Order: sequence, then structure tokens, then C-alpha cells
Amino acid sequence: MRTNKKVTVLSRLFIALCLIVSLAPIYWMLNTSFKGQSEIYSRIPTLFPQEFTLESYETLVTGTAFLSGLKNSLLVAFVVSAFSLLVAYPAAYTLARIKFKGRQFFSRTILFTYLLPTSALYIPLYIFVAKVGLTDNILGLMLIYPTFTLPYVSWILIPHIASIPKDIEEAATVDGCSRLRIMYQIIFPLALPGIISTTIFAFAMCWGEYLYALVNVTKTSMQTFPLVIAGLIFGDMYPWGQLMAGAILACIPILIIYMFASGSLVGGATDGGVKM
Amino acid sequence: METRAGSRAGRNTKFAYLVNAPLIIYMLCVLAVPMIWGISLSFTNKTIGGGADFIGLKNYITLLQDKEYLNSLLNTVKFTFFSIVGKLIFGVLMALALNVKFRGRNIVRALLLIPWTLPNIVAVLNWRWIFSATGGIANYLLRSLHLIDQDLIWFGSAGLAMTAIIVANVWRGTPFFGISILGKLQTIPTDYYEAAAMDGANIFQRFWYVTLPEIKDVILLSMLMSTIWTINEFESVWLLTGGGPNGSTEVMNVFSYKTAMTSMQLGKGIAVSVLAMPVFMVLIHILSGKMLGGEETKRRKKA
Repeated sequence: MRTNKKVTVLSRLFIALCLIVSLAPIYWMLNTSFKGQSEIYSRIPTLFPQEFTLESYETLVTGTAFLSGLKNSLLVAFVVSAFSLLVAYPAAYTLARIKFKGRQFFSRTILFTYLLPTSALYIPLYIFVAKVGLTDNILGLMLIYPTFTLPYVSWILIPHIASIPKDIEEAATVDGCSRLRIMYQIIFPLALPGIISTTIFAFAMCWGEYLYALVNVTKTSMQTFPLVIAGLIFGDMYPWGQLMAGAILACIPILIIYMFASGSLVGGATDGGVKM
Repeated sequence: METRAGSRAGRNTKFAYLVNAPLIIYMLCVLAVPMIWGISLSFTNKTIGGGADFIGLKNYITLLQDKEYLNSLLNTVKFTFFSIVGKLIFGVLMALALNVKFRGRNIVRALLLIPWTLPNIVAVLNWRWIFSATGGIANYLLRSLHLIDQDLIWFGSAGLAMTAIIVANVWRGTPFFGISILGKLQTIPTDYYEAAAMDGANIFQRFWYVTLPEIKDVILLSMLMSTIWTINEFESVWLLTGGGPNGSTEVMNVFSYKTAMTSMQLGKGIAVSVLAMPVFMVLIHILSGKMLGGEETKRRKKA
């Protein structure tokens, strides 16, 4: 029994340490974003802003392309995640429910493309975007982002759909429902919780994407927010107040949707393997 | 009967391909074609805005003789190895600690997941600021603890710069390990532990003989996945160190980016990715074997 108590105390201490290590950097970001220029660089850092100011936010919003960056990111992430759901849902449904020729090859290809790193593709996609004339345009990003969101959504949705009892479908078939109606009117609503969290994660993938955007877009008005923030750095000059303010603002949408979908999010990546 | 079953299978196949047509067409046009085209360009001297002449294996041969490229591979291995070890150790500990019931556990679990949910660029800039030589909190903390007398220039020396990018990577990636492993831990029946305790097993023995065999698979899965992502890492290194100082943190993707985008040698840049493909293929092959067949092998083992 005594060792049990010791273990409990140790594990609580470790949890406390984890919380500090995980959250302190985020607090530091928030703290910095509310400080004035001179306070940011003071030799002895202050735990709270001595002089609370919104200066950094003001410069960021009025003096840089940050807002247009947010708007572009929002637009790209929204269009791509909606498109991905629309196109990937049938794949997940058919792979979970229907036996068809080439099914195994199809599912292996989807898994392969899901695991394929983006770095293996960024140059070919850069050439592709240039060929179709969409360089320097968010339409170009909308065109190529589904290369990573489609396999992700298809793959992650399979176990969600597979877990829905088959009897429901059989009953509907007996009632004379067509495949298409079963897929959209019966299974889709039942799989909705999984569909929502998966789509949200696809949204987050596009929201923070950096490499494809960096390579394909240079024009300021077309930049997504990661490019705008990174672009505030000039050589060795880091405007930390603005950078931290931008980072905080960019986190807000993600944290909001994360709260809604909390719990089902990480599962994401390994669900397919662990639960199937 | 047989013909009816046959026609039903045919109808299923037709239905499946009909509803999947948009996906298949998209993947062919935007993924398969550019990829094959890209691979063929790696045998040319294609540059940005320039033409492409066939030069055979020249890109590959120059790469394999290029010290900077070989050095970038070594850096990638170092970076990936230490990052994975860090994420694994902290992830397992986090999962074990979270597996002990306490009030507010769900909230703590959600809070610990936050680093993983942040956009990568946010995490990267945050750590760039923490490690900053002017005004950075890392130096201040180490100074207050009397671990250093003088401020460290984190991005000015090879060892420290590598440490910084590993710390940032471990910070963001640990929750993925922690929560994945926790999910599996929670399915282990408590009577396993009770039985082991009855047999007089101490806590380490219980971990080794009861817990570890149960979480082995999910650990392997998380490690393989995280390895693919870490080898693939670009922006955290690019924005933290830019590959410096003196190429000491220049990982493969930073080298590839510099070759393709700064030096504008697209063909050679693609060759870097193509040379890395065998590694990804092996990792993906093991991983998909686990993900597609994990359940079957488990059943076989139990039988």
C-alpha cells in the first residue's frame, strides 16, 4: 500500500511538471504580446506586463498584412476542408461497408498517400501549380491542399463508419432504400460526430500549413497568415511583440474549435490502427 | 443464385467506383501525375524558369558526392533520433501519470494536448523567442539557477542550436505519444495488475510484465508515425536556425529547400526527395502492415 501512495504522489508531481512545461511557453507568448517594446527586452524579464499595452496588436493589425493573411487562411482552410469531406466521405463509406473489386488496392493507396510526407511532393506540386497558372494565388493552395487532406479524411473516417451497427443498413435495404440514400441519409447523420472532428482536424492542417504556401505564394495580398507572420522577421530583427501577438491571434480559432471537438482530436492519427 | 450474387458484386463495384470517381480523378491529376512528372524531372537539369535537358543520373551522382547533402542526412538522423527518444520517454511517463485517476483529469488531459494542437509556426516562433539571446527567458532562468554565468547564444553554436530544435520538437510532439498511449492503457483490465501484485510483483515488474506488452504496439505505431513526420520536418528548423550555424542543423528538407528554391535547381531538389523515398517506403510499409493487419496478428497470437 505504501508504494501505491508514493506512486500517486510522484505521478501528481509529474503531472504538475507536465502542465508547467506545456503551458508556461504559451503563457510567455501571451505575456510578451501585452508588453511595450522596452519592457520586452529588459534584462530581467517581468512575469506580468508592468505596463499593459495593446501596442503590438495595434501595429500588427494596422501596419501589416496580418488581417488579410487571416482572411486568406480562413478561406483556404474552409474551402479545402469542405471539399475534402464531400469527396472523401464516399471513399470512407465504401471502404467500410462495401465489398468491391480493387478494394484492397484502393485502401492501401489511401493509407500510402496519407502517410506520404509533404516534403516529398512540394517541388512537383510547385511545378504543377505554375503550369496551371495559379502561382501567387490562394486558388493554387486550394488546388493542392486536398493532396494531404483527402487521404487523411478518408482514412480516419473508416473506423467511425465501420462502428455503426450493420442492422440499421440491412433494415433500410429491406425497406427498399437505394445505396446512395443509405449512404447520405442514414449513415452520414449517424457518423456525424466523427465526421465533424475529422473535418475540423483537416481544417487545422490547412490553417497552419507553411511549406506549400511558402513555395507557391509570394505576393503579400495572397499570403496566408503563417507567411505573413514569418515575413515580419527582417534578417536578425525579430519584432517579438508583434510576432507573439500574431501567434496568439492565430491560435484562437484553433483553440475554439479544439474545445468543441476535445477528446476526439488526437485519436485521429492512430485511430485507424488502434481501434479497427 | 450464383448469377444473382455475381451481379450484386458487380453492382457494388460499379457503385463504389461511381461515388469515388471525383476522388480518384483528383488523386490522379493532382497527385499521381505531378509526382511521376517530378520524378522524371530529377533526371534533368530543370531550373526555375528554365528548360529541362536530360542529364541522366548526374543529379544523383553530384548529390552523393556533395558533403553538404551527406551532412544534412546525418543531421536529420541526429535530430530525428533524439526527438523521438525524448517524445517517447516523456510521452510514456505522461500517459502513466494520467492513467492514475484524480479529480479534473479530463481537463488536465485537454490542457496537456494544447501544444500538439497549435499551428506549428506558433510553436516555432514561441521557442525562437524563449531561446533568444536578447531578452530570451531561457537564459534568464539558467542564470537565476546559477547554471550559467554568461548568456548563451543558443543559435550561435552547433550543439546548442541542435538542442533548441530538438526541445521545440519534443515539446510539440510529446502529447501525441502521451494521449495515444493513454488510450491503450485505459483498456488494460485492472485485474491484470491485481494478479501481478498478488504474485508479489513490484511496480517496475508490473510495468515491465503487464503494462509494456500491452502498449508495445501503440508505442511502435506512434514511433513510426512520428519518425515520418520528424524526418519530414522543415519549418521548425528553417524558422528556428535556418540550418545554421555553419550547416550544423541543416536537415534534409532545409537542404532540399535551399537547393530547389534558393539555388533554383528544381531537378536536383527533387532528386533529394527521391533518394529519401526508400526510407519512407520501408517506414510506410511496416506502418501499413501494422495498421491494416494489427488486429489479425493479435487474434492469432491469442489463439
